[in-house]
Amino acid sequence: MLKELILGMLGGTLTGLTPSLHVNTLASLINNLDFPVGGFSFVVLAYAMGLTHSFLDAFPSTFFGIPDEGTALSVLPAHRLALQGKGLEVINLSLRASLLAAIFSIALIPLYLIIAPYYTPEIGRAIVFFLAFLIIVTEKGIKKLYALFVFLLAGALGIVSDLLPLKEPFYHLFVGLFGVPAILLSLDNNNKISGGDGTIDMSHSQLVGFSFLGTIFGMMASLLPTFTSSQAALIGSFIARSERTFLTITFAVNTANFVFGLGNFYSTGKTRNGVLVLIRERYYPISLQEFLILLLATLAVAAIVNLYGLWLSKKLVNLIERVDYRMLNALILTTTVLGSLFLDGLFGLLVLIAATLVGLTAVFLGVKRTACMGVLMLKVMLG
Amino acid sequence: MSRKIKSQIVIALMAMASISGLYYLGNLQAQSVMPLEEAEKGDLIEFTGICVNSKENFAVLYNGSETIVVFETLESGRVYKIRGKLTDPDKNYVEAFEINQTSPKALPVETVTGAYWVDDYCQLLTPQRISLNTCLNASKGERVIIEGLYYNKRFYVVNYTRLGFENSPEDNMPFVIAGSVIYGGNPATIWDGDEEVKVYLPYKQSLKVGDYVEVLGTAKLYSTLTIYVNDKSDIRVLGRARKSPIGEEKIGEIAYGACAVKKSTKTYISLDCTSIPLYGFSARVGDAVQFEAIRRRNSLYCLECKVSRPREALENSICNPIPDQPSKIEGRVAWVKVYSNGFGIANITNGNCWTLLKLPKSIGVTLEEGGHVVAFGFHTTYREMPAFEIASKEDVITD
Repeated sequence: MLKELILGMLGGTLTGLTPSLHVNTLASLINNLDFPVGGFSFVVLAYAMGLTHSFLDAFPSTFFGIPDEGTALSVLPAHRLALQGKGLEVINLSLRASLLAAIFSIALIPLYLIIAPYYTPEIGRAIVFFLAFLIIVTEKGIKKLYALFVFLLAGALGIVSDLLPLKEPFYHLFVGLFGVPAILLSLDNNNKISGGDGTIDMSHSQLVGFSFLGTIFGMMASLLPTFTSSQAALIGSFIARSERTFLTITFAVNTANFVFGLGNFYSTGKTRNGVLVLIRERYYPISLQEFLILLLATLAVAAIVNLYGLWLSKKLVNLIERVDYRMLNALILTTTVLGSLFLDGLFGLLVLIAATLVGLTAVFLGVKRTACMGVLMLKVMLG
Repeated sequence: MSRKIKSQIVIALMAMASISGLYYLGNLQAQSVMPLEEAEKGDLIEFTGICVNSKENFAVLYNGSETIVVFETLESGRVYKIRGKLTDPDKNYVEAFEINQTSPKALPVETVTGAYWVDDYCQLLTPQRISLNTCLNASKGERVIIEGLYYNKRFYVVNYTRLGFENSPEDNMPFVIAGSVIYGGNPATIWDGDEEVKVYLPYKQSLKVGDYVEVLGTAKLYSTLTIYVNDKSDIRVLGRARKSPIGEEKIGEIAYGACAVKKSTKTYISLDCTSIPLYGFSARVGDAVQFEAIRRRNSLYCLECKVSRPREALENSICNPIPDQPSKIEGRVAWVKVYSNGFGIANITNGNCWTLLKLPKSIGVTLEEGGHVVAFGFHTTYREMPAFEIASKEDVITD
């Protein structure tokens, strides 16, 4: 089982550091690779891979500005810090916040197991309505109208993209809404990407407090299927006082959502992410003893990834630092466009362009990019 | 207008235009939907199928050959036309954009005829048991034609027609029978007007003799038609069997009357008004009995019987003998003669009237001359002389 744990962490490290790889894409990858392990060993492998991924997926968001569904909202502040030479601080923050979230999640699991069966879709929908309301009203003056406009525009895009034969719609949508505008706007910026030393410029108490808050939001996200971790992070954005506190919440949400997802799976059999769907297909149900083993594995993965995550990121940043930033941006932009073409051909590219235009509209109108979350929320609101 | 505002307007317009363009393309795509078998991930498909599994935000639809999964709450057993995007070709997950209930005509439905049946679940008996996805608005045991699809050992009904109940029984098929209970308990026997039908009832259930009942069960065509009832609600007591005066009754009817007992055995009594023995009641020869009894094939069974006049109240008939009628004699024993084979006769005298009381050895009665005797039996003759015969020791009372 230790072998599977290590293998899972290696796989999760690889996918976590790779731009545009969402945890559900990771699940299809595991499925297609057809690992020669079965039974509970497979569960350990898949779970360790998904968990490790959730610790390290901050890297591509931070250094390449490329988000997935879980990190969409963290792209801008993380990328901004990277441009200020503090990219490794973001990675360190992600590792620490995720570690704390893993610990808090395990502590809160008994409470979670009691409340998980009481979920109703209406609760999820009500929260989405509430969030949409917050997105609009927290803007000032005329920008309330602009935010509503962007929210509806993004929502319309989400709905329209459903009409098209797309294999990976979220790739085009999230990269377009959050990633490409950031790259385009920094194309004339010739700063060099610099990682910095990774020191977190934030007090311990703030780190612990906001990680705990993120854990609570992650718990909510794993309970309510209509309520994604991005939406949970949205709530965080209304509470957070700075980029760092916001990032802490977002990273904690991401990891806590994954750990609580396991609790929900054990308690109700419901699957909240692609890795759990895969586990359910191969090995279900899991016993209490196996559930406890997975919780122990959570602690082990959290601790080990914290030991090497920053070191590995530094090595990768050293490579990135040598590249001209404008060229790097152009390269990422080209890769992103090619990625869209590769995944869904012309339709993928068209959705990427439309999403980029909506993302740029938010930037040009000066409203918070959270309004772009309408891409998921409007659909839920309309039922 | 400042450059900034111009940029804002241009970008917003471009965003709207691009979304409109995508909408137009999406609609074009929607007109060219792919068949499910040829569709790949992300392709738009159209699928008509019956909902064979439905939970909250989850439904499986089946069209006779393929299934799809949609994450919507649908009603099981209904036929839907789904338009949506195939999100997982391996599991046929479809993100539905348009869901409409539609006619089952588009489906290759099968038609099955059988009898609707309910025990632990709703089913159709053909006589094989076919589990149905839903209960029908039909009576248990009623013949129905159902249309639908088999899926996962269950038949999903999209339409059905009621045909009423069967007139004649078929082996292992439901059958309703109405008749009088001629043998009670469990199993019971019912006379349906033509024949005896054996009825096996559920545990601790029984039928009461004389009731007119209707029972529903599965028929077995043994030498006797046998009905197995699986639920106590399938037994309905409609009232009592028809009543007729003794002599006019038919099998399954309740005969009534008041008659004298001609013969009394341990199991039955014979009455002077019918040749059919009456079971289930005991009385002495000469007693007058008022009765209500169910008529079986070759007997009567007492439902409510009582001695209306004890034999002691009979007139002494020694001077007015009437043959073949239960009678009473009373008098003094004038003499007794016992033959070598044990058969004896006793002369009973009352005034100027006398008769010879036959005393077979088997009865075991010995009389003494001069004693007073009361006997109950029938007037007869012995060697052309008036005689009186009794059936048992209990029919002779001596002082």
